[in-house]
Amino acid sequence: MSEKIEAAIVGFFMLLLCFLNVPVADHLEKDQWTPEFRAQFKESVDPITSFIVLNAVDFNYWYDPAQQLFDFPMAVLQIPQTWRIYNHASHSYRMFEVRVDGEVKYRTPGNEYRWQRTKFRHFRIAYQLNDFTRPGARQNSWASYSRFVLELAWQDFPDAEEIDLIWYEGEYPGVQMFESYRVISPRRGAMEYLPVPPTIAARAPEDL
Amino acid sequence: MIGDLFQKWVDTTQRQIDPRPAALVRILVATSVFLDQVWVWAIGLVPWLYRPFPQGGLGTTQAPYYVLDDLFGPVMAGTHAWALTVVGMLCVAIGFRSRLMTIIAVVFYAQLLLGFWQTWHGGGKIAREVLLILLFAPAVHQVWAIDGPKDPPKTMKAWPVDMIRLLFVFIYLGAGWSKLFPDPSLWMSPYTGSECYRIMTNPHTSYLDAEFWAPLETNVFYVFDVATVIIELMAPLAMTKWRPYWAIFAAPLHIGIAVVMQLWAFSFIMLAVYPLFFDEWIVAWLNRNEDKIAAWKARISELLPSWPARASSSEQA
Repeated sequence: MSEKIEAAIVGFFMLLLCFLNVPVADHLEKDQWTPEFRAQFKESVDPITSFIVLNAVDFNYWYDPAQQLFDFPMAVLQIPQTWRIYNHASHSYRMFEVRVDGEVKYRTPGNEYRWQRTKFRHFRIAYQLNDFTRPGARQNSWASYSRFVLELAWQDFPDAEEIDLIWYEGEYPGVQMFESYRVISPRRGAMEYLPVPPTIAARAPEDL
Repeated sequence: MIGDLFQKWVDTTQRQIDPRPAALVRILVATSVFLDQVWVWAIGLVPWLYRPFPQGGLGTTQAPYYVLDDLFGPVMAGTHAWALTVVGMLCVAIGFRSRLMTIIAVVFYAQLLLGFWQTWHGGGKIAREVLLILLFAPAVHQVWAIDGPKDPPKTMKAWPVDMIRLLFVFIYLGAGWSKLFPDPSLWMSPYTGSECYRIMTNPHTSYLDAEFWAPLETNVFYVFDVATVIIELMAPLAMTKWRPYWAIFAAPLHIGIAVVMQLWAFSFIMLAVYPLFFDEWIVAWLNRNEDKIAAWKARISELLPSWPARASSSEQA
């Protein structure tokens, strides 16, 4: 291939790479930029910031439809480089506990209770246990993760009478924790989500 | 004027560079993905992660373009994709039919994500894109490859390496931008608490004790917050001759993420691309130690089974 043709193709793909990954358009939620919100924003910041952000928002309006032209290859190869992970860390301190007949077998913070720790601390499991195991949470995966933990528990403790999965929540740095919800399994293959009433939720677990 | 600029562009993209740092990236990226997936198997998570919910696994959502259920059936589709990813990445790493295996590994690795969203992590999409770009650099697949020619090419065109560096500039800029907008105070203000502190003491995913480290939140961890954003926004330096100095500051970010947050796979994949920022130092070191490296290669060759030798790159040409 002629060097010039190759350079032109490379140039096209580099521009495409810039276009598809430009951070400005990706991180501004365009739905919120109503005329009223724009006016409010303009008053609240200095003129330079206002100029940059509002132009970026305008760019966002035509950027999305144009970007959708490349949805298919990006989705098939799973290569969209949108990086907003950890732009906002969790401001509530959460704890997860597995109890077999009332006895703690696993607890997220610390090293004291280590049952199945390698599995639960693997990042593909740990992040889901943290964020998505609440009923009604995103992706509604609480049932699959609760079943996963319970299945492991029933394998390892087949003679147990009840296995409980308990989630606690508190403010950083997690000194005072309150039970926020609980999944109870009275026998293998059965589980029940138990929403904790506010009066009970206000009670701290006795062994913390 | 435009003709001159275009000629400059042609000269830039077509300039010749040493292919060994890029070959090292091929090996390290593929090895990182390989080890990550083997670890998933070693701790017994393959049947859970790569199986849909109705079949007893954890997968609750399947994205469009996931086609493996039709090919292998819903119970074993994920396991097949996992196995093909592992074998493909191993072949890419050791350099066995590595261009063909890159395509296989990337496609099936993407299918794993499309079928099982829980397996997502940022390093995966970087690994796939980097390996896809290296696909267009034949020399990268001939250097340090077990089925490569005896006399591998000494140079390659620079544009694939430039493209990967550009990709990384956008990755870091995107990460930095998302920390500043729409609310810059989260990462830049000492009065809102430290994001690094909360990330590094998250009880589910990280290892630092929140209570013990709390006194350092608004001083030491706040410095981490600001330093993270500054390093990410200075990523355009990766396209300049100062790239190794920028990378010296950026690499500890990933080492910290690996050690404190246990995101080893993501961090290894990111660091696996760093030879492209330290390329001049690596080439200088390799040239200085050419004799020692030749001796190691000879020893390794003795250990490996004999393979039908291919013609040298000059003979192929």
